[in-house]
Amino acid sequence: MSEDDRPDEPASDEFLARLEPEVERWQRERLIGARQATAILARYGLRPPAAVRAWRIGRLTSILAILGAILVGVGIILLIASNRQEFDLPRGLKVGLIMGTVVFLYAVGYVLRYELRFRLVGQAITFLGAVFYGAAVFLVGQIYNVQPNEPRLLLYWFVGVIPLAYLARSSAILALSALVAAAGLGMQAAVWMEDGGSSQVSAIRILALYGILGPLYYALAYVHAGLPSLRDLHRPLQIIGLVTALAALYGLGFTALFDLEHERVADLLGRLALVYSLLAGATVASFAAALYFSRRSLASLPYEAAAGLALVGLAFATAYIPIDEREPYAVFYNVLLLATLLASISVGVAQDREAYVNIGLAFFAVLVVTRYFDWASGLFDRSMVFLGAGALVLAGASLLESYRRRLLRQMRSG
Amino acid sequence: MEGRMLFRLGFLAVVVLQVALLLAILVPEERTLATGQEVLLQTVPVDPRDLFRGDYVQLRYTISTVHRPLGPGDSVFVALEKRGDTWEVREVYYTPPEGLFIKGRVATASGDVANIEYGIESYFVPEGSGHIIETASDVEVKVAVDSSGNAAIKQVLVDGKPFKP
Repeated sequence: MSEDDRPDEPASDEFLARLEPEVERWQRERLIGARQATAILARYGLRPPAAVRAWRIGRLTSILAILGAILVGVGIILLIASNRQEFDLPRGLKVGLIMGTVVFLYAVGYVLRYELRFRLVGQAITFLGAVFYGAAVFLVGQIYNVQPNEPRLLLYWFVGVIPLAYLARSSAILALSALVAAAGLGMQAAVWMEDGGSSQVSAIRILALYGILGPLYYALAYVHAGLPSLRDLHRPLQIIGLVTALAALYGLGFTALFDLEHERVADLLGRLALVYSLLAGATVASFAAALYFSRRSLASLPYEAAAGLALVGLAFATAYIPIDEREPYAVFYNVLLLATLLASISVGVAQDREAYVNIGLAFFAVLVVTRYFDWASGLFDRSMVFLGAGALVLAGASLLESYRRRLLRQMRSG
Repeated sequence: MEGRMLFRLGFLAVVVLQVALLLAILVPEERTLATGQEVLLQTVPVDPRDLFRGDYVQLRYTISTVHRPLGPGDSVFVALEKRGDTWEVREVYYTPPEGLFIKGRVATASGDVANIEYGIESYFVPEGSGHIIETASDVEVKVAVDSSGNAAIKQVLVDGKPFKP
């Protein structure tokens, strides 16, 4: 702390005696966070309150527990997945070991979290159980030589962990479930296209699928936010929804993608169209429910819902419109991505959502670098292209970082 | 107290669900292995770039290619007959036929030639041992085929001997 930051007059003992418990109370009531509590007390030369110190130790414990749990889980997974001759156990024993580990991890997680009240470590072990269960699905599949690209395996993973996310009120497990569902849908769509007789899997249709799934997750996040019992779970869905939608638009911005698909693939009116329709219907219903629950508390929601539904409509159209001229599509999606990420930054600034600003700026940086390579690779020597890219990235990074900090400072100062 | 008990039961139910889903993968496979008729299938060479994918070997069989006008994505029942030591295609049907048959799905089709997948095209091998199968001149696969046409790999034979890396 600089000399200028110190109070002009020394604080009275009476004031200091009152300040510490008061700050602890503010923190308990969530008026201020740990960082603000520490800063206020440091201004008067006081140590952080016990609650802040405990919070820091708790955070460290949580990080260490998660790291430890990941290392143990990865070790067991690699041991079985490597299929090594020296660990050539009978099939039944391997399966037993896998199932036993799943049950053991959940039992340890439960006891630590709910019986012994080691909340953070218990949460980490339960999350590890959910990850290990997914690995177990693939390991059992491997033991029986099940095709590794079977979407059924991801479906089993999703169905197994989604109830746990709500039961344990775990944002991490909900995020995991959302990602597994997204991967499974993509894989299933690819299989259906192959079944439908496509000579190739349509990347455009897969990206269109994510163009619908992103807004659906986003809408579901608002439904969660509107229900008091699920409010704590809305954040990961919101972030994954936003990133999925932006990533789909980013992918659709490549001209080459439309080049590859001069002849459209099969399954025009097949199962994939049904999935698009169901997801789109669920998105409309979720936004309607979110507006019903949260409209009064969130002024920007109708606009966000309108943007989300517009994206769903576009994604639908993208999957089925004929492709004659490739250029206009790519240009359109680049402009749309730019508009969406600017909207993300604007909502982030207006609603004090730091993640929106960071995600918007990150996509902006990636978009600029990608389009630079597209443009420059046909014009200059390769070394010049990379030199230029390096300079662009360095300059862009420092500009973006200073802009990001200014925005975040503005948001924090209110 | 009642809420706590309900929570415990809920947690237990989730764990039971996960174990049940794992069993849903292995029980049909175990049933096929235990009750299925054992047949020996001859493999054919695969493009070496695709053959070994890290932990598993990609297998293609003489029964993978059939000369029939089929459509991609079609579910088919391939009747088998023994020729010498191995089993080959007798006929392809859209409904389960009499005798021994194996269930498959047409992956690709062009004219009168169709490539059928039976769910036995991947074989997981110990780390770093894929090249043994890759370079072998004769690879046969012992497969169990149950009465519904489901198939599961029992053993891979390299040059007539069980594959031991």
